[in-house]
Amino acid sequence: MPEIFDASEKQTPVKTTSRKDPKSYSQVIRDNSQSDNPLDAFALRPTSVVFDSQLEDEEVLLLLRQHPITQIKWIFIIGMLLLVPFLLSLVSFWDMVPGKYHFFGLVFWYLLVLGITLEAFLSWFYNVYIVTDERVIDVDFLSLIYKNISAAKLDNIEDVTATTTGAIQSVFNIGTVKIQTAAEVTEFEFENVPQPDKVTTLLNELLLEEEREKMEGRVN
Amino acid sequence: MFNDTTSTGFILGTMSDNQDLLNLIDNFLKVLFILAFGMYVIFAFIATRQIHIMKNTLQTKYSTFVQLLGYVHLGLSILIFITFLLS
Repeated sequence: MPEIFDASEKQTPVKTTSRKDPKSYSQVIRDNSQSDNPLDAFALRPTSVVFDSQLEDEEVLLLLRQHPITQIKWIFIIGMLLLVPFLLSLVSFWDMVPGKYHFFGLVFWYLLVLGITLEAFLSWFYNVYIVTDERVIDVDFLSLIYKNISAAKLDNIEDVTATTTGAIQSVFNIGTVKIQTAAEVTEFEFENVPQPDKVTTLLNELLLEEEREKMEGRVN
Repeated sequence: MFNDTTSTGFILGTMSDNQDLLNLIDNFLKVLFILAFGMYVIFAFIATRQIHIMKNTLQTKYSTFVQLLGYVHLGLSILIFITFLLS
């Protein structure tokens, strides 16, 4: 009897998940070395960086934080707070406080300053902007109890603009990169990031690569 | 003689009033410090939890170090709080 249908021979369509090496299509990645420092504000292809919603074959191409110079106001405030006990010792009423409370008052103050410093550092360290070969992600921790993560696929990006305003931003090459998208979150703002021109260039290179992938039928 | 007794009584009375005032100030400061340290321990605990969430969201080479920093901060605040209560 002739065989009409054999399920064992059924071939499932193979998805091509060939992913190009970013160096092959990005001048920015070719020209800059891989970042090994976890404190970098502009980290290209950072090593040992993983985020929670990262896909298996998704690569972090760029991790951005606000430029360290923008944190100078915090350093200044913390410096001033450290001087408060010294200034207080010049005021006569401070001597009237009993010795035990005098000591614990100082300890509490320095503990508070330590807490503020830790909070300022965490806020800077974990407020990041991530560009992968698939998406842009904005991770916001505005306070101890507020967390917001927004993501948009590169396909949905419609427009990328970089703005540098003011003397400090010009001197330190800082800027704000605005990304208009067709996703649920219509605008991403990478605020006060270093080298905004390179960020824009990289994003444009990624958009072009996405276009190429679509044309060549590479599914990712 | 009468006057001396009156003045001694007045002085003793004043001393007692002063002692009461000092005790009142001491108690007030004690409560104030307990509240302040207690609130700080809560803040340090929330900070530790937040670091944990942050670490899960983004892992870097320093994640463990930052988490350790949070625990040290919490431990330090509890230690100081206990030291204050025992002093």
